[in-house]
Amino acid sequence: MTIVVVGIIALPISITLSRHIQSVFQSQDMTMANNLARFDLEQVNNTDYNDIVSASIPGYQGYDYDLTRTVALINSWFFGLEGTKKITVQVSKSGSAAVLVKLVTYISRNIRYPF
Amino acid sequence: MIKQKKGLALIAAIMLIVFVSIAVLGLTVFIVQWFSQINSEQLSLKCLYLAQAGIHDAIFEVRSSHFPSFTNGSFSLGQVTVEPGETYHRGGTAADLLMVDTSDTSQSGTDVEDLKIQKATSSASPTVSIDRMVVTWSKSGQPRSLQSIRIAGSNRWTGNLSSPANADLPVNYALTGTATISIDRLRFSGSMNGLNSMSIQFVMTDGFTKTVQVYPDSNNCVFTIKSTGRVSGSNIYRTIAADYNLMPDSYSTTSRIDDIYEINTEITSP
Repeated sequence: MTIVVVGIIALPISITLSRHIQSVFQSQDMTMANNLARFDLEQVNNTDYNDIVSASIPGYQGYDYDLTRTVALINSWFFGLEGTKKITVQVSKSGSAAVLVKLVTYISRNIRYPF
Repeated sequence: MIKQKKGLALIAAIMLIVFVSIAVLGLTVFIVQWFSQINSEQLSLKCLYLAQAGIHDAIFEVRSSHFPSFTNGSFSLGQVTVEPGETYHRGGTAADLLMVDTSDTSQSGTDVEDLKIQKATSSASPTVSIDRMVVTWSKSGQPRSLQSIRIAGSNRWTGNLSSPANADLPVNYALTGTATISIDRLRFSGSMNGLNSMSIQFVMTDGFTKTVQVYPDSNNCVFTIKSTGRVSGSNIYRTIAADYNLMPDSYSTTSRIDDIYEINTEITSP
């Protein structure tokens, strides 16, 4: 009787626990992907406008994640004297097609700060 | 005796199951909340960069519509879709959208002259309308009083007030379009030679205020761009406000963001 009861209950608990372990790894991936995407956008924010270009970087910053940066010119005025680029950064686990995080922003030419 | 031991084993097993179930339930709640937090952080990050998109796009619009001596440029307000379900929304108060160009201000005889104002947005809403101007000055020598304010060729206020002069315009002065308007002169009761400094607080009809030092002249023309980033299906938003200084005398090489900060107000209009 005891073995039967323990057997019936142990099965769903084991399944739940295995899902928990999967979740822990998944959340670790998402946190890492967020941080890497943010790192890349902050780097782009501090890059000269002309040097902001598309890139596909496997094993970004030495981690087991691939980063894809897509840059598109969305505004241009007077031979490019003024302009805006749309930056899309996507991070996925190395070798996986599933995107863990995607961040989008615009960066304009001639943005200056007093600091 | 054997039967009693079997009963004990079952009770112990049930207790163990209850204990493990409670532990697993607690772990489940913890992991669900953990995921929720990670998801919120990701949405928050997306919103922040969407808000930045709104600021940078506005600066492009201003700079590409700047024509010296005609207009200081302008930007549009409202919601823009960056990606499906991902938007930014630009807006601001009347004071945020009031440009005050102090690059050519001068003092001559009884007057302080050539202050320029402009509506910073090409959007019809919100109304950018001046209700009052509080003029504060300090000068050496004989004290003077403010007697008139002339805007775009007409006296909009007359009186006789000492500093700080609260000049309540009899008819609110509304800025329409994006052309630069000249505050031709502030006339005083006598010579303003010896003027050390002068500032004007513009009190707008929506109650918000903007204070600008107008004398001595400075290469300043500051306005504020506010942009909220949002992802549809979520209550999370992030709003960035940027004080942009066009620096009209040298805008192509020196115009800049004077200050950029996050505010906890969602822009929803216009």
